[in-house]
Amino acid sequence: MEKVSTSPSQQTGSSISMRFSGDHACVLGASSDIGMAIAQTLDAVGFSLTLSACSPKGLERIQSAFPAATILKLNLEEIASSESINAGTEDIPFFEKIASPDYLVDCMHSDFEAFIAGADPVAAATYLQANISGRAICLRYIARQMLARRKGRCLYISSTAAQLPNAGQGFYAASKQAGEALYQNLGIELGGRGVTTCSLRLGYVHSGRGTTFIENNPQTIKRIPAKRAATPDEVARTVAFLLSDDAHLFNGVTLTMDGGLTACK
Amino acid sequence: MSTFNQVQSVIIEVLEVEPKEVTLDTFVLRDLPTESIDLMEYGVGLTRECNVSVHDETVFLKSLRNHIVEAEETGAALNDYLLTQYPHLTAERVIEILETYKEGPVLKVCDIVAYVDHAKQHKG
Repeated sequence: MEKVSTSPSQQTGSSISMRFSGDHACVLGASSDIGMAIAQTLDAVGFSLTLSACSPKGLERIQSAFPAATILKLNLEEIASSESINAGTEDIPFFEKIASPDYLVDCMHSDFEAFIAGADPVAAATYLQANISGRAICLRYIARQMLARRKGRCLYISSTAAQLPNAGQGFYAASKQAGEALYQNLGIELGGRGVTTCSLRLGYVHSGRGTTFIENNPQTIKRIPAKRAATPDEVARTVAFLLSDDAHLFNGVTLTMDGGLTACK
Repeated sequence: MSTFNQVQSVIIEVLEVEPKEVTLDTFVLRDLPTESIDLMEYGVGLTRECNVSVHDETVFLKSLRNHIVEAEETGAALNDYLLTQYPHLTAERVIEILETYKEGPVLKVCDIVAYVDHAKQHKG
C-alpha cells in the first residue's frame, strides 16, 4: 500500500508530498521526547506502529499516547545477556511482537558518562554490551524479517557526540559509532535486496537531557552556525523524509543534523 | 508440500534458477551460484516457508572444518563428534562428507532438507 503525506510549505503556500510504499513502522526507544515526536509524526502519516520502551514509566507513556499501537518492552541489557540469544535461533521472546515492519527507527540508547580511565570496568563492559551487542541482536532480527520480504528501511538515531564527544562521553561515543557501523554495513549487505539504512547524527535538540544541557550551557548555542538547537518535531519530520521512498538512496551513510556545529572549528 | 519442495522453492526464489537445477543431490555452493549472502536469505526463507527456527551455522554446515579440527585436537571420535554437532545428518551422510570435504564445500540440498525435517520433528 502506498501512502502519500502532504505538507504545506509555509513560505510558498505550495505543498510537497512524501511517498511511503510501506505502512508499518517500528520505533524502538519510543518513549524519549524524540522517539515520541517521531511516533506522532509517523502516526499522522497513517502508519500502524510498533513501539518499544525499556522502563515501566516509558511503556506507560507510549501506551497512553498511542493506544492503538503494538507496545513491547525491549531492554538492550536484557537482550544482550539473554540465554535465548545463545541458542542462535529465531525464537527470541523479546521480539515476539515485532511483525515484519516496513520501517525501523532505532532511538534506543542509554547514557553513561565516565572518563575512560576512570570508569568502573564492569559498568563500562555492561554498557557497551547492551548498546552494541544488544543493538546488533535487535537489528539482526528485524533485518531478517525485512530480508524475507526484500523490503525495509532502517534509520538509526545517532549523535554528533560520535564525532565530537565531550570529556566523559567516550563510551557513549564509542557505542554510537558502533551503532552507525552496524547500520552502515546492513545497508551495504542488503541494499541490493531491498533493505536500506541510514544514520542520523543529531546535534543539540530541545528534548530531555538536551534541554537541561542547553539551559545550563547557553554558550553552546552560540557555537552553532545556525544559532539554534533543533526541535523534536523538526527531527521527526526529517526522519519521516529519510524513511520516504525518495530518500532510499541515502543508503549506508550517516547524515548530520546539527546546524553546522561539527562542520566548523 | 514436501520439505524438499519447500527448500527447493526457497532456493529457486533467491537464485532465480529453474526447479530442475535444484535436486536433493545438488551441491549448494558448488553446483549453484550461491553466495554467502544467499545462504543468509535461504535461512530467512526456510523460517518463513517451513515455520521452523533455523540456526544458520548448523543448517549450512558453516563450521564443519572447525569441528573437524576440534575433534582432532580433543581426540574425539570424528564421526561421533560431527553427529553431535549435526544431529540432523545420518551416519552414512557424515561418512560421505568426510570422504569428500577436501574437494570443496560439501553442503547438499539433502542436508538442508534433513535439517528442516529434524527441526519440524523437534519443534515445540
